[in-house]
Amino acid sequence: MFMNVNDTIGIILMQGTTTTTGNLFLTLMLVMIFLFVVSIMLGGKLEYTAIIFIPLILVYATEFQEYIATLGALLFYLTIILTKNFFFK
Amino acid sequence: MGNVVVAFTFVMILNVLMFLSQIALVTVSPDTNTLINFDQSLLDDYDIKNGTDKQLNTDKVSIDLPAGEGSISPVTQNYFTDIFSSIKNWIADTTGLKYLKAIALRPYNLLQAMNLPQNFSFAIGTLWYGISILLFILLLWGQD
Repeated sequence: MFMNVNDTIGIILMQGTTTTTGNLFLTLMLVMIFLFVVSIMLGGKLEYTAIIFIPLILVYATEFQEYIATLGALLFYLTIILTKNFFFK
Repeated sequence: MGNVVVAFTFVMILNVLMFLSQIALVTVSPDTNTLINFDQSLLDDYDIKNGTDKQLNTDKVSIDLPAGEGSISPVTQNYFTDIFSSIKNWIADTTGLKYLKAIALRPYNLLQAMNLPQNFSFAIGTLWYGISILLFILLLWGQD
């Protein structure tokens, strides 16, 4: 197993997401949409949600092959943020 | 700041982030999926390749920078061909043109190593390759 499923974080990540809507992928999509909406409502930049999503997707990518491509896309996004804001302002 | 510098920085940051993410994946689960292949990343050029731990090759700076004239290596036994070939290799090695080659080709290797669909990797890799080659030509002509 890819992590300790018996501690609090493991229960939230695996069983919590699965039992909330019945499907892990559906729950993750809803969480993403919720964070996007909150980010838009608060007037923040949408790309900064990648900073929250990268650790979340990284944990799931250890188990599911499908998340590897998603993680790579998020890393592309984070690279653009770093290049634009910190190295070449 | 020139576009080639931005392109090199982009590729370097991307390689570093993917390398660190791969380390994080392996830390969470030892038998995890592979995000990148380290041999195909830009960081591999800077590794000293001593054991399994990654170590920065600090002697590489003095090796890569220009350090004097080159010598003609007889390959084809034709003087003109050998002189031309040696001059071309000397210029490519001492002016850093091989770094430009790394900028152009590494993103395609990364996309392939991420197990993305082949057509997607081909399309994005071709886009990056063509634009970066154009940037290099403009850089050589001083139009960057």
